[in-house]
Amino acid sequence: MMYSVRNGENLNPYNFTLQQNPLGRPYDDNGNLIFSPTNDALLTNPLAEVVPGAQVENRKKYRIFNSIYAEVNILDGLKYRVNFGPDFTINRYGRFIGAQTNARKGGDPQAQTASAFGFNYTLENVLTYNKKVGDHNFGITALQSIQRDNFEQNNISVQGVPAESQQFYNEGNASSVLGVGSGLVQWTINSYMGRLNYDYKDKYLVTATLRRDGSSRFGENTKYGNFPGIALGWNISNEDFMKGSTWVDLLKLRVSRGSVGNQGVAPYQTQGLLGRTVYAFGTTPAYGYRPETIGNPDLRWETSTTTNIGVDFSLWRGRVTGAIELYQTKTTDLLLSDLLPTSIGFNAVTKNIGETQNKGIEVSLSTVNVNTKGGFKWTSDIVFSKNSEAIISLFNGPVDDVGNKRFIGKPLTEFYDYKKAGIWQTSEADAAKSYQSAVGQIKVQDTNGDGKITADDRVFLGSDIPTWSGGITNRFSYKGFDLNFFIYARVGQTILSGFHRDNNQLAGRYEQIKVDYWTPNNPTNEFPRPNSSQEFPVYNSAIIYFDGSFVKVRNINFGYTFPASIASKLRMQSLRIFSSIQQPFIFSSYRSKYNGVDPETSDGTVSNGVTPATRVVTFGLNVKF
Amino acid sequence: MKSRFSHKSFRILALATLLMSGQACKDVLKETVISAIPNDYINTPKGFEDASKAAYSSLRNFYASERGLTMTEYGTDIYQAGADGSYKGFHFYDTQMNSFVDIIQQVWEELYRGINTCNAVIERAPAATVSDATKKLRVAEMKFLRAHYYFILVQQFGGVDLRLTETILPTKKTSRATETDIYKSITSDLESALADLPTVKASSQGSSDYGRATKSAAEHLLARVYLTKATSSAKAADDYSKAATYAQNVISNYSLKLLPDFASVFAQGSGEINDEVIFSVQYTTDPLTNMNTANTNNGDGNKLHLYFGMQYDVQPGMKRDIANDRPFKRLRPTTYLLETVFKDRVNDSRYKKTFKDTWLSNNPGTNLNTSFDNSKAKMTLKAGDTAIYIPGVEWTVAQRAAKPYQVLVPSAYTAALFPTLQKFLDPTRPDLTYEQGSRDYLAFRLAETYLILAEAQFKSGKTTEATAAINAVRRRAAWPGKESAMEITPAQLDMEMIMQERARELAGEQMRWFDLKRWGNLVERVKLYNPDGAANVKETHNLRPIPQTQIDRTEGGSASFAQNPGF
Repeated sequence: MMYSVRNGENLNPYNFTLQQNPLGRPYDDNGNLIFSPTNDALLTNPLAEVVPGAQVENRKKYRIFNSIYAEVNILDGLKYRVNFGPDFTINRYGRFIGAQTNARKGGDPQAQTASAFGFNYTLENVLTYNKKVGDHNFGITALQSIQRDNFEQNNISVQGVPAESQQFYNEGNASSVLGVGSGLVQWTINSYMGRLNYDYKDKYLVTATLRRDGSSRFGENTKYGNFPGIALGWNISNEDFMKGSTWVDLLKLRVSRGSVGNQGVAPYQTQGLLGRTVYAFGTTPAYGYRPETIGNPDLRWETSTTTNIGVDFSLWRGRVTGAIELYQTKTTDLLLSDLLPTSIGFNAVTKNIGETQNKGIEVSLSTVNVNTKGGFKWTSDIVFSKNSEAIISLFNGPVDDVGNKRFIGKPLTEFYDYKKAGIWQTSEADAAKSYQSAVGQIKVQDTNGDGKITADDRVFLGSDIPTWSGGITNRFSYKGFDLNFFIYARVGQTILSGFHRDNNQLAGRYEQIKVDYWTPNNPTNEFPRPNSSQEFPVYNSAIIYFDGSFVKVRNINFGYTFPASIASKLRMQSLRIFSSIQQPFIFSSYRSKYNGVDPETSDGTVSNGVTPATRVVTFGLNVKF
Repeated sequence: MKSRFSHKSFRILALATLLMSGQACKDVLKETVISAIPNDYINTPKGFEDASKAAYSSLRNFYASERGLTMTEYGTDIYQAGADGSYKGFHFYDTQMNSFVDIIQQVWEELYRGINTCNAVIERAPAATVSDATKKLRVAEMKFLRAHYYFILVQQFGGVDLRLTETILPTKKTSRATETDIYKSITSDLESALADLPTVKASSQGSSDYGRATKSAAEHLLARVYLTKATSSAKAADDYSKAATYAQNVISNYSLKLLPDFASVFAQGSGEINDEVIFSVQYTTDPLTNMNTANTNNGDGNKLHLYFGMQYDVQPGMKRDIANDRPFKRLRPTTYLLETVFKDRVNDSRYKKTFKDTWLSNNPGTNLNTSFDNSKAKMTLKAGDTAIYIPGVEWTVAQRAAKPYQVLVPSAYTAALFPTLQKFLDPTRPDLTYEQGSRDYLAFRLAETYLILAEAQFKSGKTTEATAAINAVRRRAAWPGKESAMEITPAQLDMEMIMQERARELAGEQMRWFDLKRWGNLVERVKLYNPDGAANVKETHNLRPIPQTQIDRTEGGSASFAQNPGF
């Protein structure tokens, strides 16, 4: 049973605050908020957003889940087990936007509520049989499982809440209804699996698996997919010839190859569905329904087949331990949205599109560098990974798909856009004019050299996949003192900066990110000349991509544990004082040169609404009685 | 036997398991759509009706939207760039107007969704289980809409993808038809719809049918189509005579009438339904029927009230309020529009009725610093006093100084300060920020029919008849008692007169760019009258760029679906 309350999950006045005119006054002489600090009607006072009750966003979640099982030994070594895992979720979302906010600017308050009810259960029937014959160990598992998910939701949004104190608690009082809705989504997975484990003296290990998974999300004749796997292990350190080794504690070689299925599409993609339209004849509602999605009755499982070679080792009585993994994953029948030319009346269809390949290496290493008799100890943990992704083929074989921005040999997330060649300089006025541009504007690379900028001049600008990433933790301890810090690096990825796209108008109306912009006296090639009559600089998509490489010190911890003798004198069991700093340093050209906030992102895009990376310093005292 | 549970509870659980997994064998993976509606709903009588209603909704994408306005009034001889807003490429004809602009993509996508919906209804009609009368009527309406959507597309983009059957399977094979093929489809759709459309005029339609296609609407559209086709690559010798015939039918056959007062054409509320309206795109005061929150590309209220306003709200004595609307200042009238087209303000009432010239103080104060009027440094205003007045002509400093308010004279007009088109202002919105205005958008009105007739007859050499048609519009526009002074003689009628008359009557009504393109003088007149567009405008700007997504996603790319020249 779980219950949680969360406030303000989407409220973040940070981006809006950045745009404020510095000439505005937030408070009048009496200390009251000035709602419109300047005569720009769009730039209301961001402090009004945080007045209690002005913006309310509240989510309550209830969850009841359980895992019930029963087990029976049928014969010696043969076991039957049934697992049942019901999971109920109830979710209530409430939102209120008062009149004195930027969203309403004095207009009637709005309220919204949404409720969702989920019921998910998993039911598994498992038969296992274990048998030992001499030095041979056998294990057989057979499994059948079904997982079913029901998700219902309903919502309403209204405008004209009479008293702001009502918030979203009486939508019936509002003067108009903006929208109502409810919905039901159901899906099911039905699976069968057989697995065989075998080992000989814990030296040679074999696991063979065969899964057959069925998903309701796929086509009538393509619901099921088969996913075999085999894993071999050789525990070399258990061999007789290694028994005498003084420096090898553990050495294990692993090889495996296996497939897994991915059903990563929303339900109901196999069928064509209608979409609702809104119209009226006079004042009579004329809601309509028209073809909205185009179904793909042939949708089937996406399959990822991974070949993996790994070594686990421990040397010199644990002074050096670690693992090395080499892997290659081929994903076939990739499930992706295939964008369609919109003149056919549809925008996209979900399809099994093509094949990608991921290759990489992962290394983890733990070392004890120094361990003196005097009590000084220094250990390190190192992780390193390198991955490369490439599209091998697409719907029409190894042919680029410009419409979907997917290109053979490139990652799925490759950025493909205009490239900035610089800024048109005063001496290039004629050339700028020939491109219908002007001095001080962005000079876009004319890739094909045809004397004009067209869609054909777009180029590859990198992807969010790093060349490599890695981290190192160092720990030092001496007598009662301990110190550790963690450094993390990600190198070679490209990021799209929302700040440089949305907070870089260079038009003078909104406060914006500080950039090195062009003026006749500052002939830079970084950013274009400001222009008061533009919404954004022309071709501003050419100035939003940056090298996203960074090195971060994630944390530094320092502490001292008092000797037990002192603690006991104070009638304590133990006494420790400590201090830690989270994220004390970020090194990145995106920050130092372009005033970005934090280049670390999960999807390659740095949102301009993101809260800046915070540095948290903690001092603490840990006392046990 | 070891068990965490008693034998009894184990048996119950095992039984439950059996029951649940028994069901698992076959049907458990069947996917049943419950809260959405599957495609075959359109084959039911109610679904057939609902699909035909859906086909109308695409009108809202183009009419009374920022998209449609940008693509029809920006960069013309009558409107130049205002201070604010996106899509300035449509004012400047520079590289900001390119194949990536979102509004071009949005119009393209939504009109083609509308076309596909029309195709679905037309193709499924033979099997539909509705009465034959309903079947015929809905098919005729769909043909009217399909023709309407293709007419917008062919004017904006040239020869586009001609699709007359419902898309059942996903495809990437698309291609460009010729303009001739598109026009052939448009005229054939409209002419075959005439027989089955109701002959009732719009204002007499049943209240729950108001806004559906009528025969007069189809004839008006045919008149406009033939007039436009006459100067296109698809032209035929009889285009002008057909245009004149259809226009004359609209004028003669449906007891439609010009309202006596030009201003009342734009009366909001019940006044929106009147005898001058031939076809209007419907908007309402109810958010549930006025916008599609799930897809604002499908409809988001009448937004034209937003874009023509000047920046009154930062002036002394003023603040933004509902009555004066949100001044987005996207378009500024050109000097040509104000000084040449609307030169006559003695006989012609339309300058005064088209532009808002007075703002009354809603933010009073004493010793307010004046802003644009240098005839005085300070002024004091009570609530309701005039705060800003635009006389429309130059006043001397002394004349201005004599007034207790700021006087905005033509020499002080800027990209943010100018006479404000008031045809679309919407003071009935529930609050200050509300964007989804409720005015119907009057897509076809009788005054335009007269102007189409005049142009078609003039082009056919029937100057006397053309003069009579244009005089019908001019007489109505007269100040009381000035009717005969407004009339022109056949000798005074020329294309310049027709071009000016359309601007006087229809300024801002999403028409001008189409007009200039039809007359073949977009470049000439933008160079003459629009200082923002003059430097860059070229003949290739008679077409918009095809959305890049259409080209990129088509099999074969630009070899299969060519971009328009110059983009």
